[in-house]
Amino acid sequence: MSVDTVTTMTKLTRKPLEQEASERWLDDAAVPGRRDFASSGRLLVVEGALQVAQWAGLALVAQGALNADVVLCGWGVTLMLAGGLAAFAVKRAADHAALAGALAVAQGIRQRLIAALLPNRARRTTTEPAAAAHAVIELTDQVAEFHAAVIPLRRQAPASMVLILVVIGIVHWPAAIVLVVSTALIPLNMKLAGIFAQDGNDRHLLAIQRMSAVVLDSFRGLHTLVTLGAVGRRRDDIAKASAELTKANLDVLKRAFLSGAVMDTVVTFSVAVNATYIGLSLLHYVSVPGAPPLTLFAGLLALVLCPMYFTPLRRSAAAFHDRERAKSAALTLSVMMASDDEPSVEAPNAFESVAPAAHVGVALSGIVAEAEDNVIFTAGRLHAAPGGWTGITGVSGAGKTTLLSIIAGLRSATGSVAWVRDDLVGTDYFETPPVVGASAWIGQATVIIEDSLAANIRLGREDARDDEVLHAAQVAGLQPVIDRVGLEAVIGDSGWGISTGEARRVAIARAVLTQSQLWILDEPTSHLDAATERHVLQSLVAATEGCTVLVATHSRQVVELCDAIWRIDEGRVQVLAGPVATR
Amino acid sequence: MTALAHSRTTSDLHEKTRRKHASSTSPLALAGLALAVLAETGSLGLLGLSGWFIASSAVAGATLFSTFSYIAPSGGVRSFALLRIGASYGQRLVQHAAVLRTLGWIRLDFFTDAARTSSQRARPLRDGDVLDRALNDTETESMALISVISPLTVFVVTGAASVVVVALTSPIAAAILAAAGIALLLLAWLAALRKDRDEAADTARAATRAELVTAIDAWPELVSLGAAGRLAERSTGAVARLAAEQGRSSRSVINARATAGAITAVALGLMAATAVFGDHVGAPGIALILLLGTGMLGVASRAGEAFDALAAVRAARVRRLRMLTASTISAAAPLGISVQLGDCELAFDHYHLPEDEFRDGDRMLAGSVKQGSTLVVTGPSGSGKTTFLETLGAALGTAAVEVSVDDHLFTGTVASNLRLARPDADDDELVQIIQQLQLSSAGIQPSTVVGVGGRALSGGEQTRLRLGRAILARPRVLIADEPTAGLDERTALEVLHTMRERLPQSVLVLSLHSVDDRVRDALGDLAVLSLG
Repeated sequence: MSVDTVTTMTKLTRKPLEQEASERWLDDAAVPGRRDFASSGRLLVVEGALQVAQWAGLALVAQGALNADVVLCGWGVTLMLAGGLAAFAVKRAADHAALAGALAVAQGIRQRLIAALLPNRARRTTTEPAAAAHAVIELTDQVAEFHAAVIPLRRQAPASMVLILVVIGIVHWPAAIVLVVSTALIPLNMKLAGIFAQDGNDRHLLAIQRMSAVVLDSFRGLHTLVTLGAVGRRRDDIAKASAELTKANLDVLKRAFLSGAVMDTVVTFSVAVNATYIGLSLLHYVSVPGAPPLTLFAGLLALVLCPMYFTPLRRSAAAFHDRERAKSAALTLSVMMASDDEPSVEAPNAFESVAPAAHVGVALSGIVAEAEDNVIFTAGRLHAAPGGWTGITGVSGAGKTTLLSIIAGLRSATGSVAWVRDDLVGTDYFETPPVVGASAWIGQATVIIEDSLAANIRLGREDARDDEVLHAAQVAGLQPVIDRVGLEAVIGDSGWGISTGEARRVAIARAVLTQSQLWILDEPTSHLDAATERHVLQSLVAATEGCTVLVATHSRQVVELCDAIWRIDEGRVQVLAGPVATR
Repeated sequence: MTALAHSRTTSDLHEKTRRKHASSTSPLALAGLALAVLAETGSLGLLGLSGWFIASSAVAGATLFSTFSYIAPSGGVRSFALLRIGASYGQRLVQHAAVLRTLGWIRLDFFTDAARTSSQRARPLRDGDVLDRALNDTETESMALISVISPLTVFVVTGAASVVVVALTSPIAAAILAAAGIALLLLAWLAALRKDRDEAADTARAATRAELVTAIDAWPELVSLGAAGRLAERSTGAVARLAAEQGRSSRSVINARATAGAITAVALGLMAATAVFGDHVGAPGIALILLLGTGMLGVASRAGEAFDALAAVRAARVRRLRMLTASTISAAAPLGISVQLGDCELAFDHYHLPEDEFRDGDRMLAGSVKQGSTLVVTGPSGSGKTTFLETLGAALGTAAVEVSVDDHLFTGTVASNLRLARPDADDDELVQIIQQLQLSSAGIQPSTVVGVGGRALSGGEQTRLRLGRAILARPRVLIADEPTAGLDERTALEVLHTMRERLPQSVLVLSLHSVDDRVRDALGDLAVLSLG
C-alpha cells in the first residue's frame, strides 16, 4: 500500500490506448484459473451459509437461556461448534481452490512470457534480462494474486448477500428492509465521496508533482550537490518540500478516506438501527403492521447477520490497491508480450540448399538501429568479405551486439541486410535476407544442458554421427574434457563441472556441427584470462577455416586476427582500414 | 572487519536520529493509537451492547411488570455507533499524518546519509530503479505505525478490556477467551517466523531469476542453432519449480489460517457451553459474552497480520542501511591514481590506462599542471578520457568540481541552478555569466525554467549551464568532460575563453576531441595529454 505520491507520480504518464489494451489483457490472463476461481466462489457461498448456521446456534443458545431450556441450549452450542468448524473447513477448501487458480493464471502468463522472450525466431524487441526476470517472477505473481483475491469474491458477493437477506427476511422481514435501504444508500454516498475526492485530487496533483520533483531531484543530483557544497541548503529545501508534500497528501487522503467512512457509516447505522428497532419490538413498544411477532432468537440472528451482510462489499473495497498494482503490472507485461502476437514473416530458407563449401559474405546498407524510439547507430554501405574476419569494436553500449543481431537476423532494423552467397566462380551468385538458425552464434554466455557432452554438442545438429561429434569436439579443443569425463558422462549443474573456457569450447563444437559458413561471435573471449583466451582463439581460428567471421570484441588479441575493423563511434559505424593481419 | 564495524556505527547513529524523530512525532502517533483503540472500542461496544440490549428487552418483554428502561442502553448503542464512525475516520487521518511525517524524517535522514558517504558510494542511487526501490523501502518502514504498532496496541487494550467485561459475567468464559486470543496471536507469530526463515521459497526465486537471466543472455547462441526450444524448456522447468515452491508455502499459510479459524469456532462454542451450563448466565449475559468474544477474536486475527508486516518493515530498514554501508567495501578499493594538489600545481602519477583493443595494458600516465594553466585530454571516444577525469575528480575530492553529462540539472529556473553553487550571487552576476557563456543569445535569462532534469534546454545549453554553475563555485580545480560537445565552433571558443578568464587561478582539466591554435588562444597556457 502506498501512502505517498512521490514514487508513484513518475508512473502516471500512460497512454490511454495502451491502458485499455492492458486492461483487456488483464481480464484475458484470468482465463486459465476460471474454473478454480468459480469453485472457490461457490465454496465461499457455502461458507457463508455455514456461518449463518453458526450464528443461528448462537441465537439459539440465548433463546434457550431465556426459556431456561437446557436442551435448546445444547442444540445451540452444537450448532455453533458444527457450523463454525465446518465454515472454516470450507473456507480452507475455497482458499486452496483460489490458490490453484492463481497458480494456473501465473503458469499461463509465464508460458506466454517465456515464449515471447525466448522465441524460436527473430525477436522484435530485446528485453533487459533483469527486467524480464522481474516480469516473469514478481509482476506475474501480482496479477495472479489480484485475480485470486477478486474473482471468487465477485462470484460470492451477490449470492451471499441475497442468502442473508432471505434468512433475515424469513425470521423478521422489517429488519431486511433496513438492510436493503442501507445498501441502496451506498452507491449514492460513494458517488458523492468519489466526486469530492476527485476534486481534491485534481487540485492537489500539481502541488504534489512539484514537490515530488524536489525530493526526487535531490537524490538524483546528490553527486552534483556534494561537489558544489550545496547539500546543507538543499536539505532545508527538502525538509520544506517534504512538509508541504505531507500537507498536500493529507488533503487528498482526507477526501479519499471519505469513501471508507461512508461504508462505515452505513454498516454501523444499519446495526444500530436494527438493534434499537429489535429491542423496542421485543419490549412491545413498537410494532410494524403485518410483521410476525419477534422472538429473541429471530432478533439476535437478524442483528448478527447485519455486519456479515456487508463483508463482501468491504472486502472488494479493500482490494482497490491490489487492483492498481495489477493494472500497472499488466501494462508492463502486455507490452513485453506484444511482440509475441505479431505474426512472423518466415524467410525463405535458401541456405538449406547451399553446399557447405560455398562462401558467404554480408552486405549492409542504410541501416538505422533503434531501441524505444532512440537511434542506437546508423551505418552506410558495409561489406564483410567472404572467408575473412571482420572485427566490430566500440565502447560498451555502442551497439555491437545489436549490429550482430541484425546481421544474424535476430533483430529487425531499417535498411537492407543481405547474406551474399558467392561461389567465387561467379556463376551462382545470389542474395538472401538473414536466416535465423543458419549462422553460428557464439556469445558471452553458453548454456550447458544437463546431459552428456555429446548431447550438448549435438544441439548444433541433432542427426550428427558420432564421428562428426568427436571431430567437432576435437576441433574445438575439447580433447582434455573428453580425456577427463568422456563424451557420455553427464555434465552441467548436477554432473561434471566444466570451466567457462570449456563451456565456450562446447559452443564452438556446436557451431562446427552446424557446418555454417557464417560465424557471428559476440565477445567470445570475455571473462577469460589471457592464456585461456589465446587457446580458445586458436581453436576458433581452426574451426572457422574458410568461413566468414564477424566478431564483436574489446580484446587486442582478437583485433589482431581481423582482416577489417568496423568501429561504432558516436552512433556511426565506420570502417577502419584493415590492420594488423598477422594470422 | 572494518566494514562491519563501520556498518555498526552507522546504524547506531541512525538509531539515535531515528529515536529523536520518533519522539518528535510521538504525540501525533499516540493520538492515532488512542483513536484506533477508541474506534475498536466503538465496534466491540456496539456489537456487545446491542446483543445485551436485545436480550434484556426480550427478558423484560416477557415479564409483566418490568423495571427495564430502554433509554440508557439504546443511547449507549447510538454513542458506540457514533464513536466507531468518528474515531475510525479520525484514526486513519491522524495515523497517516504521523506516518507521512515520519516518512519525511526518514527520507531526510537517508538523504543526509547518502550525501555524507562519498559520491562513489551513493552512486547506485543515480539509477532510477534503485532510487525507486530505496524510496519504497523508506515508505514501508514509516508505515510501521499503521501496519504493526496500531493493530497490536488495539489488540492488547481492547482484548484486555473485553476479557474483563466477560469475566464480570462468566470467569470461565473469560479465561477461554483470553487463552484463545493469545493462542491466535502466538500462532500468527510462529507462522511469520517460519515464513521468515523459510529459505526454500527464496532459493527457488533466486534460482529462477538466475536461470531467466542466463537464458536471455544465451538466447542468440541457441536460436542460431535452432535450439531455442531447449532454452525455453529449461526456463519453463525453473518456473514450474518456483510455482511448486510457492504453492507449498501458500498452502501452509492457508492451513495456518484454517487452524486459527478452528480455534475461534471452538473457543466460542466452549464459551457458550461454560457460560450456560457452568456459570448459569442469563440470556443478556450470553448475548454480550458471545458477541464481544466474536469481535475480540476478530481483532486478534487482524493483529496476527502485524507480524508479517513487521518482517517487511525490518527487511526494508536493513536494506536501506545496508545500501549505504555495503558499498563501503568497493570504496575502499584503491583509487588507481596518486594526486597531489600543492599551492602552485596539480601533480598526478601512477594512473594505469586500461587495456583495450588498440592498446596494451602497460601504459601509465603521470604529469603536472601549474595553477592558472590547463590540461587538455584528447583521444577518440572509448579511449578512456571520461574514466581518467572521473578518477582524478574522485581523488581530488572537494577541491575539484566536475562537470559531465551525468551532472544533474535541478527542476526550477536557470537562476536556482546557478545559485546552488553560490547562494549569494546577485542577479547582475547571473546575467553576466549567462551572457559570457553565450546563453543569452539563445533567449535564456535567469528566470528561464529548465524543466525536469533540465530537459527544457537543448544539450548544448545544458552543458553550458552546468559549466556556469561550476564556474560560480570557484573551485581550485575544474574538471570538465567534453565541455564543447554540441556547440558550434565560435561558441565553443567563447566558452573555453570564459572558463579561463573567470577562473584565472584555477587548474582546468578538460577533455576535447582535438586542440588547434584557436583553442590555444582561448585557453592560454596549456598541456595536452593524448590517450589515443
